[in-house]
Amino acid sequence: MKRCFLLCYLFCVLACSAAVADNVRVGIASNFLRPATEVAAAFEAATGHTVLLSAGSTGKLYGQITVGAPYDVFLAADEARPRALLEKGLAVAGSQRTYAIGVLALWSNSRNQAAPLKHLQSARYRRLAIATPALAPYGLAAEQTLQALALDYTVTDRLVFGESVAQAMSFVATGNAELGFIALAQIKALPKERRGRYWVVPAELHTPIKQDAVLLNASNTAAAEFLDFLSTPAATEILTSFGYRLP
Amino acid sequence: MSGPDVSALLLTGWLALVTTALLLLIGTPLAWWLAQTRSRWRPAIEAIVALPLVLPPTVLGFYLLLLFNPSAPLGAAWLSVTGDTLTFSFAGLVVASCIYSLPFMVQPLTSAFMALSRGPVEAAASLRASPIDTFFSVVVPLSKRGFLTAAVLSFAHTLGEFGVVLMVGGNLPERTRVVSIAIYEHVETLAYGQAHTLSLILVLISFVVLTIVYATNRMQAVRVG
Amino acid sequence: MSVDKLQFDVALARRDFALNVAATWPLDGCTAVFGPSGSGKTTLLRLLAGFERPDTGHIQCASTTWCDTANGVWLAPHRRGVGLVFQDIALFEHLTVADNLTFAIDRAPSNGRQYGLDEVVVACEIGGLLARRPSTLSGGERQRVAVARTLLSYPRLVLLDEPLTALDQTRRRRLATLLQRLPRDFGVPTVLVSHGIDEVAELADYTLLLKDGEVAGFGPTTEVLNARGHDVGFTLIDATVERIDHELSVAIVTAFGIAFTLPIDREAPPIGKHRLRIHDRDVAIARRAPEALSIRNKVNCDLVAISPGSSAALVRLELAADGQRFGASITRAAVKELQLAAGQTVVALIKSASIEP
Repeated sequence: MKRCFLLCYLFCVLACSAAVADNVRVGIASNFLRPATEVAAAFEAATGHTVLLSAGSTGKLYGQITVGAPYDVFLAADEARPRALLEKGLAVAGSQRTYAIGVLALWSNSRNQAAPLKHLQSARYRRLAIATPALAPYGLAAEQTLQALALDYTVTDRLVFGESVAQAMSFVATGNAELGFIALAQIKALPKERRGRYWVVPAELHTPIKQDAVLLNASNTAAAEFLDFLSTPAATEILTSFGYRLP
Repeated sequence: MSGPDVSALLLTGWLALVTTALLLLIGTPLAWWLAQTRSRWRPAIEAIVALPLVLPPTVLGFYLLLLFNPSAPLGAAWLSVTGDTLTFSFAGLVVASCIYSLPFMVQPLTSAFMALSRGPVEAAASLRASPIDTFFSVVVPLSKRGFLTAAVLSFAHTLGEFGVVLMVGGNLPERTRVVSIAIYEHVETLAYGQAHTLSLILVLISFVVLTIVYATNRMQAVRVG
Repeated sequence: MSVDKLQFDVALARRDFALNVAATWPLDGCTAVFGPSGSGKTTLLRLLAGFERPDTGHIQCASTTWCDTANGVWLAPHRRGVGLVFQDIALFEHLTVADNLTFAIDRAPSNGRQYGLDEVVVACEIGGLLARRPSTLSGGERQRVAVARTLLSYPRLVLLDEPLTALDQTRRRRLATLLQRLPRDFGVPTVLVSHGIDEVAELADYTLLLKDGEVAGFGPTTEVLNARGHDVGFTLIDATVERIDHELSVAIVTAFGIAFTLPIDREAPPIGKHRLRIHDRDVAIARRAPEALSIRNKVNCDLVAISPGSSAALVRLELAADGQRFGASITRAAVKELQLAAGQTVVALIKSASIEP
């Protein structure tokens, strides 16, 4: 009996350590899931490691990590959450880096409308969807953009807030809002014929939407490799094709 | 507690009240029909009423987004009548909540009506009471407990509504920003203190309200049995 | 003035049961719907009340058509003015007894009220119950409240569904007396559904005999029950109470054209027409009139037929006197010894008979 236990124990330990060695578990902000999937595929092809992606909102992933979720790498949609993890000692010191800069776009689902910026300035629309500024960096950037355009007073009554930039997009896609500030990456992810009309917001109208990554598990060397892989040309090419700017 | 949180609480309470009142109006005749009918459509109607119990709120929210949008017939009709859209409005939340909490009104009422033997109803008819008269002077008083349970559950369930509101509400302060959304926002922004305050208030209200239901049910059971 | 009639001809089929009944009876007195359970009695009652719709047929109450499937006429139950006293009395549990009565009064037509609340309360003996809740009442009390409530809706007709079944002997007696008063004192005709022959014999003027959803006999209760023969075990005879001899505690009754003397056990029956119930087992037979016998009531009669009795040892004699038929149950041995045969003239010795109230 005792021996049987011991065998089982050994087997488990070996099985686990073998799996951890080659697997990289990545907690990833939902908006970055599609490019990350391609980057992960490229990484797997180059190294032979396996990447397991778990998508969620940055806030939820952060909450999970603080209570011990077993991610090796955290690709957030902001700078704040990775920094907070560092401060709590839950991330590997010095590992935080910006892996991509989000690009904000003003989107109109309809090709028949005036150019989105004109449409916005004309004030001939009912609803403008943005992500809740407190919840999403794209929401904050949208708010800043409106201030920079001196439109913040005219839009107050027309603003509707999505819980995330994805929801802001769905408000526009379903016709419940005519315009929305969303991520360029979301538009690029659509098939060409469904991209409607969009205006890419110049970077100087808002503070950069830095998406930071942080290493959570120092003992997983494959994870560190994955983090480094993000700044190789193979990865950055994918990022720009999806509508991100590079740091 | 901050101003926005207080207004979220008040808004939620008001939403639950309006929804419960409307559901009493809609759910009562529906439940009565379900309890009485021998129609072969009954199982289908019952299933439709129960759908919100099993469907994820996202399904409901998704279809409501499609229905409510100003270019869809319903959304357009509403817009032309009221001048406001159904999405991102309190009225839209009320409609969504009514659908979402419908089974919580209809099911307790239906079982209360079905538990009534036909005796009192037939006795009333034999005493020349019309069906409507019978309903209000016999069925309603004899189903008091069912009405209380249904109203309280609908109210409590609407208080806790999240997914649908999130999808069609647009998180507008004092219009569609209900407590559950406020809590979600606090949690997401790591404002756990405020999240606790609101959450505990919800827990407390729900607990009190459910205790009232169970206590009343028990009292009734003791009195009858 | 001719008496209004209730007339119906209804057919209804359920998966495992079919009812096909036609009858006409006067809206007067008490009419029993009698038959074994499963014969369709209650279904017929529900058809009359309007709680079931016949597949085809019509129901006519005096000049009002309640239902006529051929012409699409349907009168809702609450417009029929049919009172109900059912087995499981549905008093309104959320109202006091007084409020139950008020419920009826408030909805009753205001013209043509022949009696008032006070009379009903007294007749039903519920004066002390008015402030009580139905849940605190005994079975008998509930029944009396239900009768009172029904009376106060001033119905055209009252349907009684096995009203006496759940009651003990004393309560049964009390309620039966009350039910008899509905037609007699309040002018409300009743329809009594029952599977108890005693109830029917006691209360009903007319009887509709139901068997397997069809009419197996209809007419005055005496005729219908007597025609059922020996499986009933008794005969109802029309009789007249002539006078009461209080000293000897007997009633002098005319039946079969002769005077009978019958002991009175409780209260004396009123003078006038009554029914005598003579059980077959209470009739003995002699070939010649015996002398010095304690049995007072002797009837000369014809022995019409001898048929098998209720057990192997017994036979049933069919007797006729003064145009009335009745039965006697005696042993096979006695038939042999007395050499009885159909066509003989015999003397029936009636040991006892009860006067129906």
